[in-house]
Amino acid sequence: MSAPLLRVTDVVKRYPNGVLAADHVSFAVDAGRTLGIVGESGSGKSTTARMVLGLVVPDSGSIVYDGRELVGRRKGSLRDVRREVQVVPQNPQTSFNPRASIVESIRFNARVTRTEIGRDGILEMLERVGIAPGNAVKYPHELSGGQLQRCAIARALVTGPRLVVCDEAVSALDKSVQAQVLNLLAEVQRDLGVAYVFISHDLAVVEHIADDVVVMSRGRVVESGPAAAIWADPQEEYTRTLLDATPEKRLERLLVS
Amino acid sequence: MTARLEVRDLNVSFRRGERVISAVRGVDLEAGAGRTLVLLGESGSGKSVTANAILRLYGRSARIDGSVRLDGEELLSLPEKRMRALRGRTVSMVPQDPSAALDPLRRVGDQIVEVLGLWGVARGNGAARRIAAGLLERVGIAEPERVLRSLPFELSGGMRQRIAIAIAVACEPRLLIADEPTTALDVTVQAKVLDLFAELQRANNMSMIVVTHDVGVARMIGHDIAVMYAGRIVESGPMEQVLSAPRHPYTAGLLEALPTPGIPRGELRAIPGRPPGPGEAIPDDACAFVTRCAFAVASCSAHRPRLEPVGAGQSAACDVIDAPIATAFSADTAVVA
Amino acid sequence: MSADTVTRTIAAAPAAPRAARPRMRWGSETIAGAIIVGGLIAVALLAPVLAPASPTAGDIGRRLFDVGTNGNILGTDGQGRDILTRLIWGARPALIGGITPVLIAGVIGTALGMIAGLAPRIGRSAIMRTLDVLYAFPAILLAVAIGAALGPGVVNSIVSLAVVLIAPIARVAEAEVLRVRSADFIDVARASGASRALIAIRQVLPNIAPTLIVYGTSLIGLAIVYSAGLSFLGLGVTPPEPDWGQMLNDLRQFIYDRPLLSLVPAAAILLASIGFNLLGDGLKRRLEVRDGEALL
Repeated sequence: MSAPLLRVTDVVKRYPNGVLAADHVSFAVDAGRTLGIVGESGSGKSTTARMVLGLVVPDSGSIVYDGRELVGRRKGSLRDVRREVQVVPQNPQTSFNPRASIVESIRFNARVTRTEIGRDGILEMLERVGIAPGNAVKYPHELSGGQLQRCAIARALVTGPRLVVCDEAVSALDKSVQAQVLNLLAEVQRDLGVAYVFISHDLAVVEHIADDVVVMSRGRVVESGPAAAIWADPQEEYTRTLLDATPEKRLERLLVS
Repeated sequence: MTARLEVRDLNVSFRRGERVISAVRGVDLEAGAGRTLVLLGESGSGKSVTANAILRLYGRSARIDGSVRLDGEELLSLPEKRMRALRGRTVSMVPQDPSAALDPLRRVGDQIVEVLGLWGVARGNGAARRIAAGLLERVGIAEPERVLRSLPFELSGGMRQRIAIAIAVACEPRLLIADEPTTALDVTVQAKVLDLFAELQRANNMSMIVVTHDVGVARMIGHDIAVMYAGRIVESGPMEQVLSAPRHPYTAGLLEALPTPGIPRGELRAIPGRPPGPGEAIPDDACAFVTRCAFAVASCSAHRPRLEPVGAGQSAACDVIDAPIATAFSADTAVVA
Repeated sequence: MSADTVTRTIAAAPAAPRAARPRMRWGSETIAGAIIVGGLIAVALLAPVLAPASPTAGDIGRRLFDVGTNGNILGTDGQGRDILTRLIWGARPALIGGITPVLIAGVIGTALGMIAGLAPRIGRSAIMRTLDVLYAFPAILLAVAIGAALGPGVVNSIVSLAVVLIAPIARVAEAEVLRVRSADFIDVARASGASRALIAIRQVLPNIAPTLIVYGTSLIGLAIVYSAGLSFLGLGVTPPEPDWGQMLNDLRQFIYDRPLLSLVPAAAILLASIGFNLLGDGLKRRLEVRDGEALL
């Protein structure tokens, strides 16, 4: 079995106000697979995502991507890693520069990552995610949440990434639109072999999309393992509480009975 | 203390510059004493506008037509002064964002005491504080004194929402309207808050209207459901019945779009397209769902279907479907989606 | 990814764009402001053509004629100069004295605000605390103090006003930068490895510009009044060049005999200031409404 694409080991982050956002967090992501990170507010899942993306520097611990240690490296030396690790953020309304068209924003991301792609290439990528060229030249405020998330996915894919961090990427969408975007993410993974770190507080979504799951609470990893195993037989008390509380779980129980 | 809310032909429209935006059209609702009606819909469906309009929170910025009767009293024609007397006491609202309901600069205790004074529930600081502590206990807050002395930012989201609920039920209203009451909360807190609503309802025989986009939440808290789309009710009826045997393609679509376990990745039954946004113009002479509907036929674009009873208290606004649509939640298969 | 897998996902999804929005109506404020400002600029540019008489040469025999006199519709001053002419010529120093300091302070203040907002470790304390010192003084007093220190003259007046305006502009710029900085798209750029400078210029600046432009427009209205004030005190434009503030000072001594004469430059200053303020307010409203629609 080959080494995981991303391995996070014993990462610690304490914010200046004293909050311990990450308390010896460890997990691994294999190429082409999806790791779900679930937790409630304050669990540290967002901080963890930001550390993987290089937006937050851990106090200690190691983050190894494709065999290369990321922690402690100078910013400029990680350019190719930045190109291969992209993000789809939560809020579609603010994930694009309001003063630039979608095409311009995507071209900006390509430029920053030193990716060679012309306008035609960008339009083609947008079309593959379901955005017509007529919409590609629009400004963010002219598009709906679902459309913007598709654009965000296109922006991430344009650099040819191997790992995409989806930070609550469907949480702000209506459920009917959420299903479309989840399907799109699945297709992209099937066709391009992209790995996902999928962060969400919505357990039903994570159960659907993740191969492996990490459950976080107050900065610590409470439980981790294959998604099916965790849902079928949660070992830890917190995990059980979490699973029992979801309306979907109750819905399911009603279904069975 | 019974409450019977009857809404008939409610229309709410707003003026935006030169345009008139019709947010709610022809809505009929009922909420019985001790029962909860859930308004289910996505963004732009008009569900929040309906809730706000019942309380007449828009003032002059909206035009509201129709009838809203609470125990026979017509609310829409009341003078504002009388409406103000009703708000908070007889008809109360729990807002979506608990942080917005509380003044961040003042201690929780002071805010509750002020509200109690305004509503004439308590005279004098001492009595008011005792009542406030009692209210917090009622919503399951373990150390009411400590919470009363706190500032809102020192408390968790769940705690703030409980405080908002405590304030809302302080005067034992006959009707409580909750707008997305659990959206801002963690899942474990959500469950407790929903239980709290149920408990309060039992204790006071309170009617409730809960606005939500989450089917799971709807099912946990509601007796009856009204599904809204593009400003209209497209299906309504008893909760279990509507969810297990939907008669409108949109309702079925919403249920099918949920990532229930067992559906392989990439094969969620998404509803194509997207719901009309708030402010989008919707033609009145066709079914608003036609562009996204898997069952649409030619006549759907020519004529707007009316909400008609389909049996056992359920109503649906669809001219094509004449039997329950099968979903993952169906009891037995009928029409295959 | 093949074409039909994508089609399967979105099926009959209409490429329906949002319903076309009607063009935003310019408010009456903006139009009124624009007319006044436009008129002011036109008058300033066309002064040689519009003015009926000489702004500096006066006829002592015709001194202190009242408003409404035949031949000198707005009267004449103590040296017999036609007030209407001086008013028209005074539009130039008014505009220059109002716009230039705001432009200078705008560039410097925006730069400082951006440094403070984007590179807090380097800049924030040093910059903002220094500016706080300036901010502590009432602007007009500060302007007078600096102006007095520098001496009379147009350039000095512009400099002193610019110094006074840097602090408020920097504050607004910093606040705007902080607002924009928290948006997701900045994080996306950073995560992709964009340098701070690139983000500052290509993403932050275009987003703070509208607010700053609107603020600046209102500040011009303020600067016109201050600049007139400095000239009134003898610190700005030097005689015999016509300037509204200076005219006010000249005509002040005749206020009991010819009260209307001093009202003329005062009205001009007021009108010019109102014009820019209206324009600024109108633009601000348009900005808010557009954002409101966008957030729908």
